[in-house]
Amino acid sequence: MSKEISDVICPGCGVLCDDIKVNLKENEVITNYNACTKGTAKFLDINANRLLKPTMKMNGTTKEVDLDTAISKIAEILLNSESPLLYGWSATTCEAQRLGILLAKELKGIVDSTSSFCHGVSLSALLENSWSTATLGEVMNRADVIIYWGSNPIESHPRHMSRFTTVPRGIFRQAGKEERTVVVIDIRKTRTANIADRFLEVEPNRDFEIISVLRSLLNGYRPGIETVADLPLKEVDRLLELIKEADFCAIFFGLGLLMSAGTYHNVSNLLSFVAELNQLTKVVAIPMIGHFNMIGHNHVSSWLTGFPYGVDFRRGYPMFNPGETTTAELLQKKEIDAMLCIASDPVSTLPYSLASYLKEIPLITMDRQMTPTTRISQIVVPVALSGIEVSGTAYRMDSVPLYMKSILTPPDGILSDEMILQNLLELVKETK
Amino acid sequence: MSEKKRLNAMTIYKLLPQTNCRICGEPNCMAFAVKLLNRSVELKQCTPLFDEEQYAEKAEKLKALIAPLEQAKETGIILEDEKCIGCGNCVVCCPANAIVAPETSGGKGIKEEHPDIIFLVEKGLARICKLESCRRYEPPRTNCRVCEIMCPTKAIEILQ
Repeated sequence: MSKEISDVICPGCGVLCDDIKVNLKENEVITNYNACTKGTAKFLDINANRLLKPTMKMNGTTKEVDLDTAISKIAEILLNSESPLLYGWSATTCEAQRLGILLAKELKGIVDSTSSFCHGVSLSALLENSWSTATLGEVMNRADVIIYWGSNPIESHPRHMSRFTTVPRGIFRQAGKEERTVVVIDIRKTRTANIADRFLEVEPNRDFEIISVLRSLLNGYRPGIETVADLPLKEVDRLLELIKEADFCAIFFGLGLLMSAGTYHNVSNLLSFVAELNQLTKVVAIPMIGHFNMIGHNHVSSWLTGFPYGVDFRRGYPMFNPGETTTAELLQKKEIDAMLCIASDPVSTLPYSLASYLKEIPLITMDRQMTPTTRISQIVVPVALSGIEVSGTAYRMDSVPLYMKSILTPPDGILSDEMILQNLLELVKETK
Repeated sequence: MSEKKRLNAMTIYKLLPQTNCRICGEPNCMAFAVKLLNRSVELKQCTPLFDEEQYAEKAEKLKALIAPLEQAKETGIILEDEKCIGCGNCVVCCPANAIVAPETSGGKGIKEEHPDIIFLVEKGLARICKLESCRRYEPPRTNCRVCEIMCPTKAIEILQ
């Protein structure tokens, strides 16, 4: 007999669409409504390449072990390590993230999330500036100018435009798209640009200059140049006029802005520009968070330790210094001697020079499915999929916490990240 | 599909006799072209086009030109699954969808089953359910193309 559940939250990306309807039959999703292709893959292919038993590498061979043996071996490795790194966290619940930070504190290790390669860096810009922001609901109800800077939501967050920003009719935007102007600033014509009102193609790595020119023009200084980053100055002028005349402008910045030359300085400059614009009209800047709970880890870490990511407990107290306590530098300097990887696949995503070091240290992975990281891991613990098989809290890209309900029962013997970390934390406390 | 030439009333008008003879019952040839595009008149109603030899070549060309109109669905909408990414822009922007399922106008997907809904997203792909609700279907056949304009992947195409 099939069962219907509505208002399910999709763990596909940072938009956390909360209107998904699923039809279940015998603990399997048979069809889903309203989710995009990205979210559908999570619901329908949940059992693809699924890991079902904990495994451990012993003398060159991989053997299946029971969960208790795996957990006690993990505790042993982490306790014997001088600087263990607990990495990942972007695709799990806040409850598990909290336990992870407590575990790092017990172990005197380092806890870092994937945001240190991603939008966590924009939080460094936040530390230097004020941050004018809004919820996506406010953007839907009020925004008349939407700017996507270095982001391509149609590929990365397919429902971002239809659910919140561009298409829907809001309380003060009853005509929907007709009342809004969408501007895309990118280095190539993306699919998002296909439906934008204006597309500004800019030269790669020169976003900082454009923002600086915008700020100069806003403050009444006219630079003596004709073009900036391949963009005629009059185009930049038009963009500034559009923002100044807007009632509510929302700027969504993506990794295109953050991961080009200048990195967080680009965001820092943008946030300064937004702060200056707020003297004239309401302008907000919102990061396009990729993983469904990446900003959640930044929040959890901030309220537990005071720092958003890359927190080092090796001295007994939390320390944060991007460039020293973040994963890339720790791997580059070969500072860590064990790594617990949870809800992430660093072997696929990190540069080879960094990922190759993972083969030299004991690597423990907690994941739902087989990935390149699980293949080189010494211990692999299968877990349930947060958001679909496990309930818990996640933060949407605009920092709104939402409670995700579980709709499926995980396979026999598969526990959630939270339960495994709880067991591990208790064992570590006992053994210490 | 994108290589196909878009049909418009002017292209049709250029292949009509352009004499404004009113035999078809319309005030002029342009009005006939518009109605032909909307499929509220048939080509054979333009009798001079077939009776007079000088228009024979134009008649053949026009027949070939409007052939896709007969193959297309009632409103001329084509939705290609291969291109669709399930973004739901069509579901939210469609004015007729907003009438039958008001929740879609605010950006949300459908909450319960609506028998008259046009677009919905199922298994990550947009699907056309009931074309009869489309504003292009019933007379006066509004030339609404909002779903085509808002489709970022060009999965939706309106032939006429």
